[in-house]
Amino acid sequence: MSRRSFILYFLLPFLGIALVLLAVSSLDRAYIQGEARGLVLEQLRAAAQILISDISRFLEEGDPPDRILERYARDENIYYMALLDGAKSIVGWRSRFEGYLPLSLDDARRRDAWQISSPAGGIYNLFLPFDLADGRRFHLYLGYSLEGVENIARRSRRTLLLTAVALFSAGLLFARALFRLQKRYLAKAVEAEDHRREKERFREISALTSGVAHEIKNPLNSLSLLCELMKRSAPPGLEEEIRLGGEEIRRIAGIVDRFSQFVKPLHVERRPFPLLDSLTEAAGALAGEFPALTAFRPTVPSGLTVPGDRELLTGVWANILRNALEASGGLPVEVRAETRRRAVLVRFRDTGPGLPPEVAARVFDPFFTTKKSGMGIGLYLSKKVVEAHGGRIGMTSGPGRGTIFEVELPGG
Amino acid sequence: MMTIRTVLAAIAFFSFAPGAGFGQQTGLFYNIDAEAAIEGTVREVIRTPLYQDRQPFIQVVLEDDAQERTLVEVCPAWYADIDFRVGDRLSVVGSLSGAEGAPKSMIARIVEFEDRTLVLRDKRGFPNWRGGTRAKQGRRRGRGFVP
Repeated sequence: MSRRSFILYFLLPFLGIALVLLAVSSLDRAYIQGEARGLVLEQLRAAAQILISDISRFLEEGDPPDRILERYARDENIYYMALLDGAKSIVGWRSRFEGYLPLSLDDARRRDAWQISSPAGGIYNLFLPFDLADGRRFHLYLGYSLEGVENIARRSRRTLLLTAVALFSAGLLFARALFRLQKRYLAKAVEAEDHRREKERFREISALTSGVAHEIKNPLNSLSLLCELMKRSAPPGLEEEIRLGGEEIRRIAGIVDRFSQFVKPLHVERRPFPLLDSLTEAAGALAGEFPALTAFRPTVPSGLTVPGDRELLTGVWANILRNALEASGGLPVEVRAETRRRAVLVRFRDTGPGLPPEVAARVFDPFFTTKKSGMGIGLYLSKKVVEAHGGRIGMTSGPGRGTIFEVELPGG
Repeated sequence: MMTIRTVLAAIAFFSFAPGAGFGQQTGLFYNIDAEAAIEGTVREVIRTPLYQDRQPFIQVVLEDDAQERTLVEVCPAWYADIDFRVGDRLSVVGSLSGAEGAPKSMIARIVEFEDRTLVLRDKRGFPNWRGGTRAKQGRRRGRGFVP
């Protein structure tokens, strides 16, 4: 998925939905808050009317203002209240907070309720005149707590915040999962394409090689026969040349045979075999060429067996060992095997000069070689054999760091 | 003619009656229309239970340069981290009560002492020790008053 597609088909719709949800939620919250405030105001007005009715009666009965206000001390929603006479002088007051009665002369002229904020929360204020039956005028000043409404608002705000966080977290997780899946899919697609190309190339090479081998082998057989005949009736002094000629013909036949083997489909016969024996056998086959292998001591867990084709895998070990020994100039190669999650891992580490990245990237390609005498099919065949076993082969190398070949085979 | 406010202030000044239950007040309230600034020398430090929670409350008698005395209600002892002593020089902003010739009282909002400023109430007189971060800081400090 390109960046443009991601923005167009995922990011923008997601942000759009998220914003719409948040906007709806926010509007809803504002509406609920407004309604709640309205209800509180109505409650305040109703409460004030009841208070005025009661207070009027008490005043007419001659109760002192302080004692009258004392009766309302238990109402937790009333933060403060005051009684003022007709000249707006305070005749009694009461507050939940020390000395706190925030009434100014300007406020005493207000007709409607007003709100003030305080560290204890929002407070609705009401200043209402009322008359007694005997004509005396009083005023009631009331400060009513908005704590309940603010609690609702706080909870609503918290819910909105949590929703937003959850929504964006889910979006981020989803985007991340999408990217990872896409990356994995692309990697698989590239791998499949490489595999297809390789198979196609191999098919072409196989067809060509089979054709060439077939065309060469017939005349080679004739030539070989001819050499044998010539050797029997050759004049003295020519036997050696004829023998050399015959050897060259056999060498060509050997090369043709190897090519034929290369293009044949692999037939794997799986039987558990001891890994140590197989490695030792591979080293033994090369010991004539590389004296360092006489002291070959691979580190293999005792009794470790590998379910596979012993002959083919021994050939793989021999191929890798040969490459390692040639790279390190015949110095000992460290071979270590271990089990890892139901698989056997065999690691070959040489102390050679390492490979430059452009060479390392092609070592498993058919017919790729940096050696004068090599054909470039050993590691390619090794890879085919390992993959035919359901395993994998890999290599890490760098200039001056030596080279490590790793073969992972299922089972063990 | 003395207003009820003046009478209440006078009662508060002379009695400093302790509170008795929820909402009980001394009679003084923070009158935002009567805010004033005074400066003077501490002549007496009083630590007495005021208001509903009966906790020791700091009051100081401040004498200005004209030798006029004002009873200044400061804050609960636990909230202040200043030890006022007789002879200290204070500048106070607060709500002033008391008619001409009568004893004066003040509820302090801001007290400046040496190079420190103690903010005790908001502009409408809400006591800082009853809400907000200042109250928490005050309780954490919890130093109280040392007479």
